[in-house]
Amino acid sequence: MLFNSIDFAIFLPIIFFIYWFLVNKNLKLQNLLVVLGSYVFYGWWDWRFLSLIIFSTIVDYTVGQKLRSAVNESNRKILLWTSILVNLGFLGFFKYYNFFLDNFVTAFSFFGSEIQANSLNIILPVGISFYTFQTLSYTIDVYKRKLEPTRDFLAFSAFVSFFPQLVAGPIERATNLLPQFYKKRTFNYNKAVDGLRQILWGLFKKIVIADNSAQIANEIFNNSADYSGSTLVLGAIFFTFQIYGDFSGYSDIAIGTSRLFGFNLMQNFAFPYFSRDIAEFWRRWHISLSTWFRDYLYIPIGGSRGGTSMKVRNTFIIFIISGFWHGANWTFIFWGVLNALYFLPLLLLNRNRTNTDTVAPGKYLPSSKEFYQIGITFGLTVLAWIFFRAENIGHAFSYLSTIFSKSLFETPKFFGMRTAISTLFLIIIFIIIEWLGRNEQYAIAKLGFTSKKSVRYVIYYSIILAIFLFMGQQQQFIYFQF
Amino acid sequence: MKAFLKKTIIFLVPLAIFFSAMEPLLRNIPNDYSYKNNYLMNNSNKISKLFLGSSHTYYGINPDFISGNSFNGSHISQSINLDYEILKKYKNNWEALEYLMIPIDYFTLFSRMRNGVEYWRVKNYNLYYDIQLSSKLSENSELLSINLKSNIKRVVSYYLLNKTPITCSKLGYGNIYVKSKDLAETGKTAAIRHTTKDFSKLNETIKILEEIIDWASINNTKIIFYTTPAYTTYVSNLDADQLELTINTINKLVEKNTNCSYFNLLEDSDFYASDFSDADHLNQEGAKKLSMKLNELIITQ
Repeated sequence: MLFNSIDFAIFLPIIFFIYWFLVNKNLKLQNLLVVLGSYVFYGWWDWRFLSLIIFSTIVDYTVGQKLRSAVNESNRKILLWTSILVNLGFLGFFKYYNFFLDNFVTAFSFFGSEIQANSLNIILPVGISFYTFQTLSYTIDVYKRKLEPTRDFLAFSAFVSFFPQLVAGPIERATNLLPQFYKKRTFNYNKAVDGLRQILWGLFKKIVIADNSAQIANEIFNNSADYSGSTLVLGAIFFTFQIYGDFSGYSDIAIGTSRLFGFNLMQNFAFPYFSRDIAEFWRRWHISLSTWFRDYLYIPIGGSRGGTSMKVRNTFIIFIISGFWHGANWTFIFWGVLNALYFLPLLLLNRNRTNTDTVAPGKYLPSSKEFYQIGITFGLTVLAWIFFRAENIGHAFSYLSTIFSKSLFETPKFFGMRTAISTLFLIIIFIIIEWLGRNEQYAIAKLGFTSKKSVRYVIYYSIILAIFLFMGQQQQFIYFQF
Repeated sequence: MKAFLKKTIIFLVPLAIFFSAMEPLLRNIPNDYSYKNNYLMNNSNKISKLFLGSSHTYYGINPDFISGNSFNGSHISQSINLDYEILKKYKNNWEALEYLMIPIDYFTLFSRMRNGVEYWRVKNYNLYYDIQLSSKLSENSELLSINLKSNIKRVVSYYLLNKTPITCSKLGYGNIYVKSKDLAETGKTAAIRHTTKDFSKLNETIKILEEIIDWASINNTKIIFYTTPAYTTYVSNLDADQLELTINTINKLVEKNTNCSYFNLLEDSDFYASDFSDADHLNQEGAKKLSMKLNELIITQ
């Protein structure tokens, strides 16, 4: 079920009503409703893959129970690896099988040996990378004794399948989300209104910014061989806003929806395009994934401890795996490598934690230095997104070579210029709103505290009007494919 | 909780009123789809020559220049599966149908309206032809399938300015004036737009065509497949493999079925720059020429 679909607009009030009016007095029933609702939400896409979620749930719950009683360290390790292998095994099969097979065949043929191998027609289950990482966080935390294994199977099932963030995050930690299923949730008016406000802002980002940008980015990327360098730059910029609007919009809707049901999810995006360097960008972009990798991979393999070569190695490992997490394609790996290369100078000069506060605090405009830093970081990000969006490495490099050619100075010309101009106008308004709200969890969060009721209503209606006025062609959420 | 529900409902009431008033207003506006459906409902049993297809036919075939009772049942971006749906909808009425004219253009075998930029038009078949292509609410509603800006324009234009939104003639030809566009530029952009890397729809399209041929055979209807003329700037930018696959596929079908013929007019030398409004659409002069040409071909059959 898509958040921006009529199906979800019907589903959400029904679940909300049952949750707060019919089963509100019984925590078990509330959790059961969350589980069933989540399965319906997921099964709406393809009910067959529900079995994977249920299987993962059973395996990790059982491993958690066994870890409780296992004292022997080697037994504990075996249990941990059972969970890791099962979860990553599913992920590996559904997401990476064909990639490894194809590359294996290519590598052999490079050395003169021809091997016959048939790739399989595998459908990638929606959200598998997200819920796999979420459930792994539980087993690892239980193994590390940071979290008491749960005895409540229903609560655990709800934690694994919680519908607002099941298919595209934020990837929640068991330490944050699971205990929320143990406690009775009481309805909080302000929290619910805030949730609705964040949903509205998420829909604006997705329907107005991402879907309109997608139309132009798709046209330009799909036909890049026929366009000038200047047009390709525009294509990359539109994709930059498409992916941000799409993914952060989804996160906003997920967080807002959770809040309606009395849950707090972590912030997933913190205005990443206002970052002053790449390190700051990665602290602000897809925070739940970055911190997951930091805590469960980067720190265990040594983190920034040890010498320079160790730091460099770990940085590359983390970025390459992060890239590969996004998809079974060399483009994602290259995207990861490129970001590691961006990050490296900051790490080596020990400047990767220079910009940890919000840019230009208390000011309307950034200083010229900050403006320059934001511009450079944004430019580097746009360049990296080309690899993320390209069909293959060859496509990415030919895209770049056209950008860095004489045609960069030609007037951009492509099918859909009028849409592009109106979308650009919307993006500028969007950037201004995001800039003004950059101190908050999401751009319009402040509205709930400071503005008069009439002003708030005018703004809400304006956003709704903008959504209906400028709604682009409905597009699938990009991150569903990961 | 009560306060939350009360305020949410109060907030939503103006929106609900606005939308529930707009939807019937929009559906009440006549359009090409409702017009053609009405026409077919009343006249399908009298039509002897039926033209289906996309904008190439919509702007390219004027039934005024075709002898007998003919009708242009095409719509912009109407793909072959939708042609078939229209045909099926009136399957018991085509008693007078002698010739079914189906354009086989460069993209016909590989495209579906649903997969292209014009997919929002799917609602027209659900709402006005009553062909249930989808149960999705967004594809069964005017308001949810087109953005509000366009819908407001339509309401103002029809109800306040009394302008008719129907852009086709009585016999279904798209006779709206289309401003001439740059042939070099549109040739390139249209060819890019129509070139596909995804040939997965080919087998399904062949199956649809075979079903149409079988039905036509039972109904004693001849099928004429044709490729509409396009300007050289379009043709020169086409992918040779896609074009070859198209022509070979249709030739094979015609070879197997005696009730079918195929005419490739893509590079027909009778059409000049002055016959096109853009590189792949004929203007009124071009449409007259193509209609007369096809009429002659029908007569010589």
